Amino acid sequence: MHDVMELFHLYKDDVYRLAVSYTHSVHDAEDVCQTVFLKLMEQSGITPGKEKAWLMQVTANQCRSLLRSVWRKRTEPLDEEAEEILSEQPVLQGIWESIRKLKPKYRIVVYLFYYEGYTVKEIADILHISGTAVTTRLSRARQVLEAELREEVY
Amino acid sequence: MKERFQEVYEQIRMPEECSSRIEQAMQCKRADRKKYVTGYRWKHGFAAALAAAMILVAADATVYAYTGSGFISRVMSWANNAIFTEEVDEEGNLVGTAALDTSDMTAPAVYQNGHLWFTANGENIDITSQVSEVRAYIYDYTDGEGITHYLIVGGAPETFGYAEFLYDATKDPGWIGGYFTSGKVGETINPDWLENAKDELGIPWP
Repeated sequence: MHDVMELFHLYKDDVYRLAVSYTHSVHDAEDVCQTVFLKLMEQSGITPGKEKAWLMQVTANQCRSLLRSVWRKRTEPLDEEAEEILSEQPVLQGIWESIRKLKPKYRIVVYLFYYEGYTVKEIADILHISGTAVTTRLSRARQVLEAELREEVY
Repeated sequence: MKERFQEVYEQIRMPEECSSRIEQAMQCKRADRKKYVTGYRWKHGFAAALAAAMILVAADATVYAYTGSGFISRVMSWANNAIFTEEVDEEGNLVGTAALDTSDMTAPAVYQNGHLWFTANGENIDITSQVSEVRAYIYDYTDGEGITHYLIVGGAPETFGYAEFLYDATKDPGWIGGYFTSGKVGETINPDWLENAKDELGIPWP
């Protein structure tokens, strides 16, 4: 099994990407990442080779808890500009802004499916939802994105 | 479409400043493993579903153990200044502890000149001969809310550990929370003295 610091360097960008995609806040994402990697240090029973799946699952749970928290609901998250996250490429920033308009539950399946390349079943396992729910969310996300990005992507 | 999304996501990378901060936090945590706390969470009506979460803490750290959304219903102060906060969800069900704040944590015992003194709650008792690797000293008191606190100190006197468990006779299940702090580097979260004490008191958590 990899040392925990090796795992951090190996997967920090994946965890961060997932957290940014879910919360759409770099500040929240950083907090989530720290919590997740500190939790990783407490784990001794992760099956070798399954570390990334564990990290994805815990990150998703942590983001979900954050978005549902009373504190978060009572405070208005700062809007972060796309430029803070992406380089100065207007087309990519446009896509990011379109993704950003999706509800968090749609954003996360878009990220896991299109970037991470997980299957519907794997996404269902990570998010603790049914395969049907994953398919439905992907379909609805596609509809919204299609309308948003018709001129840029299609 | 997939390629464009991948291009977008590929640009998202953890900032170096954030990476350094997390790495530093991990190194601090690794360096201070001698003290750890186990927070026991519970869910109303699901005694069998009790879950234990081990939380490694630095001596002066504040640890928040979020267990879900909800509204704070009660804050419980513990004998050593740690604080548990209960939550209820939007349907009114008790869902667990929201926070375990150990920033002002103090041990209920102190080892001095070859003696282990139990010092919590205004008591000052020499318990050196009453503790060992398999035996614990157990002290209980009932607070103003009717909750019984069981303070358990065990292990070798010079490397003693301690635990505290709360029992509310008006609730089912009556055991409503607890934590354990070890004084030994690398010690199991289930030392014999603690397991024996839990058996004696009927504490249900593994």
